[in-house]
Amino acid sequence: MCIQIGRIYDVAVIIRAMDKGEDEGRAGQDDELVARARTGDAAAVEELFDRYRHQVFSLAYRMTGNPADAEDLTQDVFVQVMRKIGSFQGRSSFSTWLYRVTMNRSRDFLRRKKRSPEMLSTDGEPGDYLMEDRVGTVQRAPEDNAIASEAQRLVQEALQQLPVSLRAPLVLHELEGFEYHEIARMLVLPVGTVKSRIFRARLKLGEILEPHKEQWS
Amino acid sequence: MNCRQARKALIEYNDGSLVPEDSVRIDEHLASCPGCAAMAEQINLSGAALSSLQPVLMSDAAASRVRASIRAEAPSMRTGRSAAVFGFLQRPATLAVAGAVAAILVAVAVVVGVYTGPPEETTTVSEYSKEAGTSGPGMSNPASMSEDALAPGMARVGLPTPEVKVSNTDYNGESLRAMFEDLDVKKQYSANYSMGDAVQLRGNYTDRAALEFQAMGGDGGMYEAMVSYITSSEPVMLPCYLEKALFTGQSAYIIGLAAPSRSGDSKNLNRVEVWVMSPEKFTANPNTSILYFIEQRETQ
Repeated sequence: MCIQIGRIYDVAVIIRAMDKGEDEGRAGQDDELVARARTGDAAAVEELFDRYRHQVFSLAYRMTGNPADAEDLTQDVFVQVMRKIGSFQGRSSFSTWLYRVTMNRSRDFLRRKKRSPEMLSTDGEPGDYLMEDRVGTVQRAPEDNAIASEAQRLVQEALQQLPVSLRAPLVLHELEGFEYHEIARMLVLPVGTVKSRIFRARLKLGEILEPHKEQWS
Repeated sequence: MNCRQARKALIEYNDGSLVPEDSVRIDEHLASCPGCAAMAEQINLSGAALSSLQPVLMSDAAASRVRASIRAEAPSMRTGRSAAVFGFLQRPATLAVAGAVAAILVAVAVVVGVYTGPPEETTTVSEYSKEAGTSGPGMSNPASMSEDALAPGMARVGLPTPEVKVSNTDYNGESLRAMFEDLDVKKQYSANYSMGDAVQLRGNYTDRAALEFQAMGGDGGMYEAMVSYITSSEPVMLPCYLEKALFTGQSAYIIGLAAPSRSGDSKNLNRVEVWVMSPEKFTANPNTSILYFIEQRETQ
């Protein structure tokens, strides 16, 4: 897989790009697992879960802002995978299909939540759901960690303030590393609309974070 | 460079992915345009903020919980089970054994019939249709749905569910309109469902129709994608009809969605939108896949 360094990527972004499963070897292994899953092999679904759980969880978390909801959605997505693997025809890679299922379930969840405010999210300690760190991230002093953590909280909260129609393409492009045309297929939108929504989302996010801009200066 | 051109390139400018000459032109424009310069600052700030986010990973404890749910769901794996059973049934040896068993059963039935008289006429109704009361015209076909499609607790007893068909009918605008004029399921939806039901049941009914469609040889995933596309701008619509057929000779998915009236005079789902979509074109570009559209309102 070739990663074009057009900007300063940090280690985490590169790891994320590698995790997407778009390199050919990984896609080939996915195909084998999908073929097994289609014959009813539940162990193959578990292997697919182990390969993609972080990506699915991450996307669900960025969309909902709540780790417990993200866990529920991850579970829901893989149950859907079990039920609907027969309808996956291999026109796109499995990972793209999986992201599309995740995005659709997340959007449905958010719509239901918006219309039914009584549908409360589960509370819990973030540590119950989130793994704190991974190999390759930069070691920081404790006070720097606190600042970084505050900054991340602000960004996550700002993401939640974006309408879902802007949040979805922004998260897929900026955090999950998808190209415009891939997002267009995933969200069933023209490429031009995807670009303009990402632009509007970036502007809106900047506007929301303006009072805290010293965090990133 | 004008404002429109500058704004179009601001993200690439911020990412550093523009060629140097274009970057310089943007620099010059921003120096003379406060409006675009303010936008560039916001784009820059959001870029920095997003780049600072660390990857989110699922904890092992959460993964264990989800894995347990997957294992619990495994016995009802639809595709695997049906594919495996179908493959088994297709084997020549299986067919030979099945033939022999059938012959024995016929012989036994004849003998039993001789001693007990002809059996009373019976109708087989699946457990699901007994529970949900979905056995009348315009209702779903329970025999074609497996247990994992049922979503217990979602369907209310006696209420209509999407009608799903695969046929070779070649419709045109007139014949399709006539068919929907008389469609029983449309009337049942209008009489039984409100806007709130559409919100609550939309996902479940889409799943239900997709699974039933899949079992009939249709592409359930494609149907779901089409419904998602159609309802992205107007989500309060409840799937009521799906037919794989032809439309003026072209392969088509005919999708019926019940919705509240536009005038707001009633919250009942007394309006039906019929979307005729080409599955071949949908994959390439959904916007060019709409072959025909009808909107009908049930008179009150």
